[in-house]
Amino acid sequence: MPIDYESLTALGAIMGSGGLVVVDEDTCMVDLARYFMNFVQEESCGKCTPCRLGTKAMLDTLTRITQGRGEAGDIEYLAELADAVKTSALCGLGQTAPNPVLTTLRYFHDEYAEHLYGGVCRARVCKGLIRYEIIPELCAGCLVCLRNCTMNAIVGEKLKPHSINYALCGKCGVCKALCKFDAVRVTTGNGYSLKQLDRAIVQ
Amino acid sequence: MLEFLLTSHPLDCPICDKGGECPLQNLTMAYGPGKSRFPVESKFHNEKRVPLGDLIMLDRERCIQCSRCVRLQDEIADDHVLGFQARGRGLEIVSLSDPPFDSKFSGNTIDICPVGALTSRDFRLSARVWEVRDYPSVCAHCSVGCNILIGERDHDIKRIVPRENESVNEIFLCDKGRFVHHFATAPERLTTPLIRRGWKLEVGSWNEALNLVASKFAETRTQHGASALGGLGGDRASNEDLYLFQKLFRQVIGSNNLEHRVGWSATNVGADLVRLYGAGVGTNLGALDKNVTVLVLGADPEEEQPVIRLRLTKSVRWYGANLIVANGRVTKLAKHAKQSLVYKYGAEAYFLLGVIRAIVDEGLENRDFIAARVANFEEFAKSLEPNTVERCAELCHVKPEKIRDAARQIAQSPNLLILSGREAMFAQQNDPAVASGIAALLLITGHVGRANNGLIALYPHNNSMGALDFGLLSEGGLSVREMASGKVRALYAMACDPAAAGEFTKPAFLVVQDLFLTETAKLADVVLPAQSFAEREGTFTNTERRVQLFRAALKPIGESKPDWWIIAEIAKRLGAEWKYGRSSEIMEEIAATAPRYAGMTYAALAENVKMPRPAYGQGNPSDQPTEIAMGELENVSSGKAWRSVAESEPNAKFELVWNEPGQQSPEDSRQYLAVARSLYDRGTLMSQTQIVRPRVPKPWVEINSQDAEQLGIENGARVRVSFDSRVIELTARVDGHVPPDAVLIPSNLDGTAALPLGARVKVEKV
Ligand code: SF4
Ligand code: SF4
Repeated sequence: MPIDYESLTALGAIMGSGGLVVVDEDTCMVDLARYFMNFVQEESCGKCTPCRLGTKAMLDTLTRITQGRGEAGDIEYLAELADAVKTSALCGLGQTAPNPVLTTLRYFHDEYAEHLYGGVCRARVCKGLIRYEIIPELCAGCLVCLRNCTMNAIVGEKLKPHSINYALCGKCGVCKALCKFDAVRVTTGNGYSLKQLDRAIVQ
Repeated sequence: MLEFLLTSHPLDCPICDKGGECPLQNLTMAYGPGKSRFPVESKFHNEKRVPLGDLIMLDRERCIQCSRCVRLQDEIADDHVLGFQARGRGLEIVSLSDPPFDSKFSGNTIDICPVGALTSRDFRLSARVWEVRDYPSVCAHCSVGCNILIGERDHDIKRIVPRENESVNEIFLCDKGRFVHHFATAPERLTTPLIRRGWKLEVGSWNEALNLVASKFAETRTQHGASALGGLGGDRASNEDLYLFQKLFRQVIGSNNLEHRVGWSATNVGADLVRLYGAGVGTNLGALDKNVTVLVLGADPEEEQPVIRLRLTKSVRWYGANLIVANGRVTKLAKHAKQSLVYKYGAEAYFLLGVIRAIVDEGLENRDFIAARVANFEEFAKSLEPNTVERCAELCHVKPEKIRDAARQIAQSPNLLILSGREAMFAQQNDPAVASGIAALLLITGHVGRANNGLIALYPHNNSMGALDFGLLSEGGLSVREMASGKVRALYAMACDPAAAGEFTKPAFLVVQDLFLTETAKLADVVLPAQSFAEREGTFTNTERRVQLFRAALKPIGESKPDWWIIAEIAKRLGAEWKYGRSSEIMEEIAATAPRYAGMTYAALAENVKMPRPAYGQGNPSDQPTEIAMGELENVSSGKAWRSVAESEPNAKFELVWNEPGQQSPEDSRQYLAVARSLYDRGTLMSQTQIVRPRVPKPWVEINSQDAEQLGIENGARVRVSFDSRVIELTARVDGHVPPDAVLIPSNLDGTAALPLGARVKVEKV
């Protein structure tokens, strides 16, 4: 892929800072889009409506999706918003603001769909869609995670496999970071998304 | 986009002043989705009540950051007092000036704000717009004659909004016109006739009061002759009133003692010039292009005719009109002038003469026009001989090159308008050479008798022009000062307050007809309660000679009666056979008898007119004619202007008059007193409106920095100004608006009533 104006434009990207961002499979595309939208929200001068308010609408939608509260139709809504902002914003900032959303939608449509319908975040980034689990076979019961858990969500005794109380877990990831035995793993798509949980409670 | 806007807009409609006339609401009703896809909890919240100055309240949450208000202030009103602060969703409107929102046009932002973010602190939360009934009327303050709608509910004026008229005020009003209306319903209004019994004024009946007035007038006439009676008619009264007033005096009583120039307006002169060379019908001050040169002479329209200032600025900025401002000091309008000239007060005639001489020297006069319509050009040119441009330049303190440059622009421009203001009128009054100079300038360049050509005299009040048209002028009669100093035995003062405007000696019998118990009324023998412009219909003639109809909006307050009715009743009791049932009948009589007002019946004035919509310099060019929009409402049009002689008689010949300019007064060590007028002052109508009180400035005196240095006066210091037998103490402002040897004091503020313009004053440090 040659780096020149034409080929970048053809890809829907731009020349300039943040025009090309290299990421690996540990980055969630939806979360990346959310991150950029947050940035644009803060940078917008506020003079024109699409940029001032349209990016906020996009940010809210993306935030909802990453929290696992996405709804059917959100992808179409995002595409519509992005298109509206891109065509009607006054300056370069607003016109390129929806690019992260548009390109991720174009190339990683699946990830969005997974977030929405499967409750899955492949990169295991979106907190609403992941869960930390302690693998009993690997857990040595060293109490490190238990002592350091920010939410006091880990229960267990010394030298016995611990477990996580999901009602308390804040998904901060401290346990995974501290575990010397790699006994904590992140899973996603555990058969529910928050939305489905909500529904289950209602039922 | 609507959806975006609504994401951040509060759901305030039920308590929002704009509700019912809100573009956002209307668009949402027309195109908006019924349901928002935006989560309610992420709506933006912001301050709901931010006072933006004394007149305007801002609701930051409602603001959609369209920046119309900022642009209106910057581009149209030319008061750079609003701006944006912060960014993103926190972007908010702030006032940058001190005092906040310091503009004479702030009220217009309420109209153009597309949401209810900017609201009037007067009207705010007091009525829903659909309960308010709009009556077409005409502003009763200055001589621009802005078209307004009086919003009435429950016999009270709730608000005043502009009525679009592309040839008078477009869609704008000044804050005085918009907010100063509370006088009409003030509790201080007179509700019954008052008759003096012994020392006290007591309530009387109409019949008793009118009989007394008529019998006293008749008695005075038989005992002392008709000339012992005098009439002062204020130039706030309508044409109908003024016409009957003069008819009463001229035909029924037989006296010629008639005046309208009470107070500082004693300078209203130049009516004869206007009659001959008045600007052609169809002149539109808001759409003058680069082919029009406008010479604004001795005027301060910012303070005196604000909307004319606004429209001239617009003409200059959008259409490139060639504006030349000449005055004895620097006014706000001068900022936009292609050329701003500051002449020496008192030497106006030499300035004009210099320009004329420069035109003749360079052979730039309009020969065809002169050959066809000017009788005595050769003679006139000869009498110019001794006054070279250099001599004039030296006497009026303007550089000869500047005079020549102005002369070229004036002579070579296809169109020329001269706007002469109060200071120029004062000069005209003292020195006939000024008037003849203005006339000569128009005649030798042939700039009369067509649209965008001729003279507009900027008179002070809403109907000064009408008062001049109906001859309320001391031609052969006594002057205001003579009448006010007891030279008449019976005085009839209608809609004016001579006692507040200077020295006043009560004549043997004094009748005052007014809205309030004014200073003069307190001295009167009989006080007759009149109706304000909001309670009756009538016509005003604005400074461009446009006769405009206004309708009644309120029920009469108490037993008050329209002025014309009172005058007619007095005339009847003096034996006249007048049968006027309504004011339209008087206007019909005027239309039939006064040639200039021919055809101006109410029916004719109420016709809708079509105006070509000016192609705007920026965006939206359109040649669709616009119908005077609000006129359709109650069938009231934009009015009709009468034609000047130059226009109505295409074959009339004119004569150039030569007047040697008056002697320059010997150099005086004292300062020349220039009197300005402040838009907000201590006038009768102003003082009844609480909301604008804080806008009335504290009186000040402006001094040139050179003089100030010599006298050891600093900006803000207290100084004593003495003239004649008066001494006043004021705060000094040293800011370069007045030339050396002159000081400027705004009149009609606290302690600055009745200032003698042109007097010599002594200034010292306290
Ligand atoms: S006009 Fe009204 S909505 Fe527009 S920026 Fe000003 S306050 Fe806000
Ligand atoms: S400019 Fe004069 S006529 Fe117009 S609103 Fe102001 S005071 Fe009234």
